[in-house]
Amino acid sequence: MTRGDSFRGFRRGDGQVGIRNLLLVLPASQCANQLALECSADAPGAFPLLHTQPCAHLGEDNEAARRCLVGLGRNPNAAAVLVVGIGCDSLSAKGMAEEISAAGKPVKWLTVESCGTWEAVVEHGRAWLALLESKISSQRREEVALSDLTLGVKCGGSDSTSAVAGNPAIGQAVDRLVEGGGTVVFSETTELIGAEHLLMARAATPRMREEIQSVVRRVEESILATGVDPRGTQPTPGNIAGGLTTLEEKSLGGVIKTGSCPISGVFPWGGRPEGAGLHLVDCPANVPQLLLGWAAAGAQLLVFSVGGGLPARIPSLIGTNVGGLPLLPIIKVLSNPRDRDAASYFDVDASTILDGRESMNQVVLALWDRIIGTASGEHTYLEDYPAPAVQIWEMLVRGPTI
Amino acid sequence: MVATSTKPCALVANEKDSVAILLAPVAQGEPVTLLGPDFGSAGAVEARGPIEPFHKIAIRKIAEGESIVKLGEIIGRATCPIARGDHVHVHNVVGVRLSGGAR
Repeated sequence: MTRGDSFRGFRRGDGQVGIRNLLLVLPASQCANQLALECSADAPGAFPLLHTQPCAHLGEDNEAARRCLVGLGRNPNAAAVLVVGIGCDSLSAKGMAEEISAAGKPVKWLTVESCGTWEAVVEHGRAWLALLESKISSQRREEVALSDLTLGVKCGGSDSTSAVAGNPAIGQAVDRLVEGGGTVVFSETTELIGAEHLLMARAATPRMREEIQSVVRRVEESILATGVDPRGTQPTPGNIAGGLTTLEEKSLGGVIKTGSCPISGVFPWGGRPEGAGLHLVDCPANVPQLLLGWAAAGAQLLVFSVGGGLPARIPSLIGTNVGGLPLLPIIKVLSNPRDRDAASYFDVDASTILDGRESMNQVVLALWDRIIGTASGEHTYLEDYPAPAVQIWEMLVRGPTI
Repeated sequence: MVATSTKPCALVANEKDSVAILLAPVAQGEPVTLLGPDFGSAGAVEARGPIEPFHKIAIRKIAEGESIVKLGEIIGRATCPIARGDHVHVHNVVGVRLSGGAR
């Protein structure tokens, strides 16, 4: 096989393929975040995924959080998972660990209740992570097919160049991956308003067509019900400065990154796609929640399209205070040639299409090469970005919080 | 090629579009070369005012209330008559969705 038709990843027990080999430390609740940090302190390969799950949520929000945390544990970029809890958490550390075990990788759970003391959890947790660290270091990558890859696509800091540079290039890569048997997930339901007819026309089945319409209608009605004029938030002041006039214009440019392939599925935040192809995750356009949702859906990799302007001047990840979610490596794509002096913050410079330095085809090939290279272990810009700040990842909450 | 040209260019992303995306800033009265979806030549338009790069320029006359077409789709409607060569943005266009019919 030539570079482009396959990549090199870590095969997991359930057949999924990881492109990274992390030791994921998952708190069962926000009360266990500090516990996760202390357990991970001496394990350089460990990633404590701190989050906001409290005790104050009701049924569906708790269920969505449980689905999400289990999905994160099952993400193939996690080679092994330690679930830590207090014991009185709204979600059971033991229950989630048992569900994650189905992914055929080492999973352990520890709670203050089961170990007796906080310090005992830290002691057992550290010992287990040290053991697993030596175990996973001997794992080797193997040649795997494109059908083992799930890619997320997202745009942010959009301006009018996004729709004619980065997004169409990403759309072509999406089509290529889907044709190759891979899976692609996109989201940002709010930013489908005004472009949903194009997605509905691509629905694989009549039921999918109705679902696309229904998730977009629901978010539109919920915004209208607030009585607040969303202009100024959507499009953002940055979008407007960049030449985007209306939400419809932003949405129409955004959906270009989903290519032209059929839409095979729609599923809720925290859920997983059924089968390969292109799927919509129903979630607002809030970066931390989106990243959790995509990682929980099993995405190993994300392509993030940035238009230009001030958002292009942020070297870390827009919408977060860190360099990204280690569980989900991110390929950043730049569209606006006015920001070419910030191109070093990006993995792929699609702005070259607009100032005549490169053709669309050349950029599509460069992007594809980055996708395959990153999937095979090459670091992205953000993976090497020093990000000492801590992110507490936000769960999606529909409310009420009690 | 696009920016290597000294004259300002604007991209007509779809042949149905009533606006083009400026690839460089333009001054009032300056001629703008239009490029089609494949970046081939698609005529010219004269800017009726200064316009920032990557903002929209009308490539035909648009009546008040008429839809603005970009990327082959409706992005909003004109809140006043728009002349060929005008800057097209929030001062003369409103989105239809979520706007509650506001102008």
